[in-house]
Amino acid sequence: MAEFLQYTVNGLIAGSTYGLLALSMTLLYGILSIPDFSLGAIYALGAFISFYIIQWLGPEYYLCSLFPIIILAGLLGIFSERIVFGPLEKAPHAAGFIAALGLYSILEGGWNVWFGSEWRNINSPYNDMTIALGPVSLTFQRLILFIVCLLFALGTFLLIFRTLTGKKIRAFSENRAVAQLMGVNTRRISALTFFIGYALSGIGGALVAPTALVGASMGLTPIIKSFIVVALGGLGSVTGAIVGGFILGLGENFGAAYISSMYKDLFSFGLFLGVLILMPQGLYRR
Amino acid sequence: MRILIYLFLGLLALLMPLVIRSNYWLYMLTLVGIYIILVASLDLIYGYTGLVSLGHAAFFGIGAYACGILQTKLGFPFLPALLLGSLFTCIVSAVLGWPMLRIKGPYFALGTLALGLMVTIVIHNWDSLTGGVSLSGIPLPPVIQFLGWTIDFSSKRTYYYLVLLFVFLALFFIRQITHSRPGRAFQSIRENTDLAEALGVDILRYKLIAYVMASTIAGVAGGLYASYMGSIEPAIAGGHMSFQLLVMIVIGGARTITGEIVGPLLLWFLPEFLEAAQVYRPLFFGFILLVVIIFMPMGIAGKLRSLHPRIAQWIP
Amino acid sequence: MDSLSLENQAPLLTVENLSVSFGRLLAVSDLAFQIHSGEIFGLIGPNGAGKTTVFNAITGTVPPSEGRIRFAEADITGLKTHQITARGVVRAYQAATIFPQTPVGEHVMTGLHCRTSTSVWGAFLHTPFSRKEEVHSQEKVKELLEFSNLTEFGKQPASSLTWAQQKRLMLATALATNPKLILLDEPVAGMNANEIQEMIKLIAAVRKEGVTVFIIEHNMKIMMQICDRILVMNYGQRLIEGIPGEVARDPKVIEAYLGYKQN
Repeated sequence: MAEFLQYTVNGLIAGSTYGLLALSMTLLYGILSIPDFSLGAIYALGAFISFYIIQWLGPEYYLCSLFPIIILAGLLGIFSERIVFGPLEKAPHAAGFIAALGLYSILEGGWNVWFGSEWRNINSPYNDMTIALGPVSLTFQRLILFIVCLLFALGTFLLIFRTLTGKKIRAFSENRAVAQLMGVNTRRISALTFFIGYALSGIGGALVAPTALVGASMGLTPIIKSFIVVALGGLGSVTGAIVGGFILGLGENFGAAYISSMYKDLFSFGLFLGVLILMPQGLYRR
Repeated sequence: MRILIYLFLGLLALLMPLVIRSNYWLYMLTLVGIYIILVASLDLIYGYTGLVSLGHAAFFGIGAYACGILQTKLGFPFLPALLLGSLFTCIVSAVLGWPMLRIKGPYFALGTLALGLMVTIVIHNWDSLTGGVSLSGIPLPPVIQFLGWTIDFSSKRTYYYLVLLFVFLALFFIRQITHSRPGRAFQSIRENTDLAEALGVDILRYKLIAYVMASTIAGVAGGLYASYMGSIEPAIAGGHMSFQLLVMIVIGGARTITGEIVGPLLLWFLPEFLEAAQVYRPLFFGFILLVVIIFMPMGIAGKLRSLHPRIAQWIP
Repeated sequence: MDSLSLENQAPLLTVENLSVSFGRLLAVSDLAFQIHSGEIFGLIGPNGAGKTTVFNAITGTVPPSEGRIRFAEADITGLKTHQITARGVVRAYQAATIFPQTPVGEHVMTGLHCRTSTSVWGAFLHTPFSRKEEVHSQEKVKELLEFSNLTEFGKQPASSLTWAQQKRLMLATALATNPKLILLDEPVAGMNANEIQEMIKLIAAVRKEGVTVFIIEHNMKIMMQICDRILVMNYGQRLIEGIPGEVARDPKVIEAYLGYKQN
């Protein structure tokens, strides 16, 4: 029973990062109508930034690193919207998808060049502190990860569904032409959504960094997993992304525990393909 | 008109080893030849049928490993191993393609990516069969005595001609298929799937035909690669390899033989000429891909064709 | 057309109790009608009446929630679109649904797909059968291009044609499938008076070739001109069916179109 609870907690924690990444993907999907692969590289960037902040300023500043990450990642988002995806608005979807791949390649390559290609460890002060919640134990770092992820997810949810700006974003993603006619400043909304999406990915990377290895291609597997989440929850659905994230996290951890941890990724991908084939619309929840 | 171009290119390729003596360059050209076979097969699914596959290299890997394992573990000679390996790849692609090709939209591309990664994971972990981290000791094809001539495949030049033979076969096959009834069916699926179906094209069937043909050809290329390199690793089936192939066809120009040749040539040799270190390659690839997809989505061959109808005649 | 002699034969297309719903929206409700071989049958009704949905149900694009569709004595409900086309029911879409980059000649040839059978091996090996079939296909394409007045555009990409020319191309391509019944969804939408007359002549020529025509249109005058019988729909239901003269004068129809009862 204790084991079961531990797996559940692990699953929820893993799920929160998947959910965050999937959330950023789904936000951008509303604008682009394609999944933006390059978010995986932004995820890695977030991890690198927090690494360097800890190196230069000391481990106590770990949480502060979230601020520059939001700004930097967000600005990259606006840049990518203007330079890469903007010109491809009228092109067939496959072109945008390929452009996202190209962008990922450039960014990952860039991180390899500038940050070096070794994998490294980050030590945040919270890594060593453990808490016990009944039979379950987890490091403080992972608790923070979970809470911060939830906070940002909640924040984004509130933004999208409870503010005027959020309404504009939703209108834009549902029907661009009509939104424009209604007076929505599409350029600004586009840029804002990209800012938020990229920032969320960067934060996701920074939060995970102390619990995993940091490297230029650390975002590859998570971004693919976020595709799985989005497939489960439905591309474009905000709640679907968050809930789907938890489902994947739980599924993965239970699968690894009760099946085999070596094949954990294999299990996730297999699940992914299974969902795609059997339920082409995902657990659609628009 | 185009016949002249084909003859010219064919002759050029045949005479190349007489001009280029260096083993190093012959080695490069042979590898480019294998890439040309791969990219041409990808063009069949991506360029003609419109399926974005990020997992094409998976079948390259499956073909390579099948051929390699048959030779190293089961002692099969080269040609039977190549044929059986390709048959195996064919069957696997049919079994996997049948459910996968029902998936629509961007999910299909992601599904193929997941598939490719799964293949690498399986290859990596099933080390009793595949040697895990690498499979080595794959022999070259045996020496052939033919009408007084000795064909020794350890010679870089001889293997170049072997690969060149397959390049000709592959390009010829693809050209014949695409300029015929099945080819029209593939293109109709790409240009307007709903209309194609309304006109009586069995969409799933033709997607499957294209997918299986392309994957089998990739498997053949894999077998050639395995024997040439002597040892192979799981990464040849992975995402980076598949991505490279996609970049090559996009930049070269989809649906053109010119593109299928120029893409690999350019993306192989340009980094060589620029003496770019290995670490800069993804940056380079990604950058060129972005530039092409935004400004020249029909690729180099497509751009040349669009300059003038007269020029288009000369670009196959 | 002598309507008495038509009714004596078995109908070509029979639609029984057709209902189509999308979630909670009932687009078509308990619709029934028959189309006889050789006639030009019209379906008319205000926007949103469910006309295109009827076409979608017949061609298998959308599954009926209830009801059956019979073509040439066989039940085709639930078959896939390409199977229905192979049996002889083809559809030309409302919007310009073309293969934009395909040259006009090849465009029409794509329609021949379900009437030809060269396989991949046949194509690769250039068998005598495949060569004969290719020659035969080229001839058929030539005929169809002449029939629809598109011969001069043979090598141009389909997207370079004008709207009216594209609609003729859609028709020619659909005819290449050698149909017994062709469904035309608003064939003259967006055309000027000249283009409309050309299309009407073409449709009459199609009927003369022995193809039964089922048309959806908005324009009552056009429908009066070409149709033998008309079915009027409103709100997914059958309103009235009959010869054009009767239908146009029916007070329910007038009310549906004008929104008020005429005294």
